Amino acid sequence: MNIPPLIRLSGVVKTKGAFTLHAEGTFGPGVHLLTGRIGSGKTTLGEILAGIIQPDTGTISWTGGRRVMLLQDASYHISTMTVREEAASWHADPDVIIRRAGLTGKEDADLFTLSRGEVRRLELAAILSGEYELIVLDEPFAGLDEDARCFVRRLIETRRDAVVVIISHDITSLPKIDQLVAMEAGTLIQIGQVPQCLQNWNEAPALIRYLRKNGVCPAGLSREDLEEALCRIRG
Amino acid sequence: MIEILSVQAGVLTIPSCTIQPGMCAVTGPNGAGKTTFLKLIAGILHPGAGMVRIDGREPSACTIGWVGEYPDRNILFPRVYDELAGPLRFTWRSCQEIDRQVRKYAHDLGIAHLLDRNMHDLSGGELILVSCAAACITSPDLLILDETDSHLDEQICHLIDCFIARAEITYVIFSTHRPDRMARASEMIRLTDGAITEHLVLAEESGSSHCDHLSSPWFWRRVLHGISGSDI
Repeated sequence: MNIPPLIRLSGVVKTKGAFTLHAEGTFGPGVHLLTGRIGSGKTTLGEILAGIIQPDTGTISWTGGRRVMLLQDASYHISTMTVREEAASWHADPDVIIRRAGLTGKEDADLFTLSRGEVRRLELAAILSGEYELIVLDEPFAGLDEDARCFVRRLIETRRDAVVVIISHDITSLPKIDQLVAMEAGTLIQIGQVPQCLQNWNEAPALIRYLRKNGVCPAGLSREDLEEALCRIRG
Repeated sequence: MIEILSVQAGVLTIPSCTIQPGMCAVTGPNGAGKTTFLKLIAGILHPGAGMVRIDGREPSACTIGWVGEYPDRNILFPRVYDELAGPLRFTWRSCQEIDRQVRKYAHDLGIAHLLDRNMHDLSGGELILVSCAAACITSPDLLILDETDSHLDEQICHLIDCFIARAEITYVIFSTHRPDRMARASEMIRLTDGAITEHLVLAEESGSSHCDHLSSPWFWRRVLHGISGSDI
């Protein structure tokens, strides 16, 4: 029997110094966008979802298998010396990882001679090629050029069967998003289903506010949806 | 003016380039040499061949502020106050003057409440603000922001923009992948495979033909100006 992966947080509380996080909610299969101001607790929630840290109180029930999180500073994932060794250290075919990362020909390169963007592509390709059922990506597009963003977007699209949580400030490179959630001063808020919730998104980024001001609501948050919405302004 | 002439350094080959006072954005694909370019201008990397001059001086003779993508790698002191005071203490100023400057810069960036905090307890955004204050506190000739914006939200970027504008630094050079950030610059340099493939002046009215694309800095200027009541 195939149970869809589902994570449920009930009464979760985590305190770190002066900061306290409260979370209540369910994340099922599909792509979730987690937004919120800096310091609002997005990364901490991601770490709780991925099982990296435990809450002080509350319960987490998880029906799936392996969980993983891409760290903001992807170089903290590095555990080997070369591209080939690093790819082989993950749960997937190393040749596929290297090809997807666009690092063919650099298999023997020392990881610390790669640019930051190349390291991030390598770790992202490893995470999205592996058999994970819950994938938290903390700012996956940061530091990537346009080609790499497009590639990451397509790679995420192949993992809709998993619970994917994208933490991002940048909404211009996203794949199709199913659910929008936010951290507001330490508390998890369910904003709702995309695109229905976009009209009422209070803390919406500049681009969404600009579209709404011009009387246009995008059909979704993917790059394609945003470009289509811009075409409607142009008429 | 910053002049780069006949430079060959690492992946970079630059026959000639001049940068005017103001904000200059540096962009380009991963591995194109953006950080190398910034290091070269900052004098961290000495060109194997050629020369770099900032208003006629060697970079090493200038005061330069640097903020990277992950400032936690460059923390010198455990306490926020000392991190801000450090650059001034190294220049042998009086304690009263240093204290006055630290409090002024902390106030201007809205981080006065963090002065007694431990650097390692700060959130990512708070760390960036502290690092910006520390980089600007010596009134550098040149401020470099190496993809500092990659984890920042619009509000924090705006706060830093306003702070930098008030600090009246002659040259601010920042690398970025974000067209909405490039929209803030007066000049834009694109690097591809170690060479400058585009060098534009982003004047207010020009570029209207590129206005409709999400990757265009001009488009983002219109978005940022188009939202009523605020700049962001």
